[in-house]
Amino acid sequence: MTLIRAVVALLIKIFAADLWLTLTAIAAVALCGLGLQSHILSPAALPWCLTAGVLAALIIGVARGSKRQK
Amino acid sequence: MTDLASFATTVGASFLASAVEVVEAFTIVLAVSVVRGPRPALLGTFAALAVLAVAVVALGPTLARTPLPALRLTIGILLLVFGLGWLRKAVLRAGGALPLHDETAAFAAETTALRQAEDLDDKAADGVAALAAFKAVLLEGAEVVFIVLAIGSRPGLLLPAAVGATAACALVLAVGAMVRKPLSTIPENSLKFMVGALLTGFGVFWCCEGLGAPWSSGDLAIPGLVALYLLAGLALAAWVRATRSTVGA
Repeated sequence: MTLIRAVVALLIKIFAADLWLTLTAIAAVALCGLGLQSHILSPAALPWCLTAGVLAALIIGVARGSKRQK
Repeated sequence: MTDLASFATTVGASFLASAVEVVEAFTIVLAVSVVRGPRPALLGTFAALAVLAVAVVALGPTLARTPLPALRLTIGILLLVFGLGWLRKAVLRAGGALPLHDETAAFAAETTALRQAEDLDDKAADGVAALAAFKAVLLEGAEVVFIVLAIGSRPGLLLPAAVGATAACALVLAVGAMVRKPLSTIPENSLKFMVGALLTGFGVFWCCEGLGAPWSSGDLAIPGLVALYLLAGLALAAWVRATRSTVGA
């Protein structure tokens, strides 16, 4: 029982500790994939867009975390 | 050049990520060994390693059957979530918004918890201690296995990823066996900072490959991505520190 609780706690720690950050990262990948499929985004532009999207997710995640701790 | 860059990045990423996890597991196993002796510590450790080995053997064929683009996209997303979480936390710790992880405190907490179980008879107390070691090695080891499989998921890169992880385990255990106390002098947050940037860089790279839009520069994009997220993290840590000192003033 202790072990199951520890495994659940680990999964929560990894994926849901900052649910917003997890969802933003997944959304960035999903939007890039949709953009590529609908030909809005070219295959050459996708890596740059995803890089920028992930960077934006990090910046907002840090800003939110820092505000929460003040 | 590309091969060398892939090899070095894979070994480095696997080594650093594994070192962070092994240090955390070592602290708990050491606490068990100090309070109840080496027997339950070794029993718990080897039992966890056996479970991990079975999981890897069972999972391997499933991974091999998964279509490559889907596998790369899934691994990319997992690495992104994992890496961004580590990087964000390391930035907040470096900026002073979160307290640093303290191995000495973790060791003290574990030994206190284990000493409370000493009221039980010897067999039960040994069982509690072995379970603590088992849990620590299983949970931290699962993270190491995931990182090694994810970083080494490109043809020919599983071996360097495994070499990096094995080297980290050997180094941490050798240093730990020599000093016989928690490895609190290891700059864990700096390691986590670096590993967060590495995993995020790998994650973006794999997502692009999984979506069918790889970088034109191939594997050489990985060091560039890692450098970008590392620099961004350092800038953000400086910003957090500056805003906190402005608020504190």
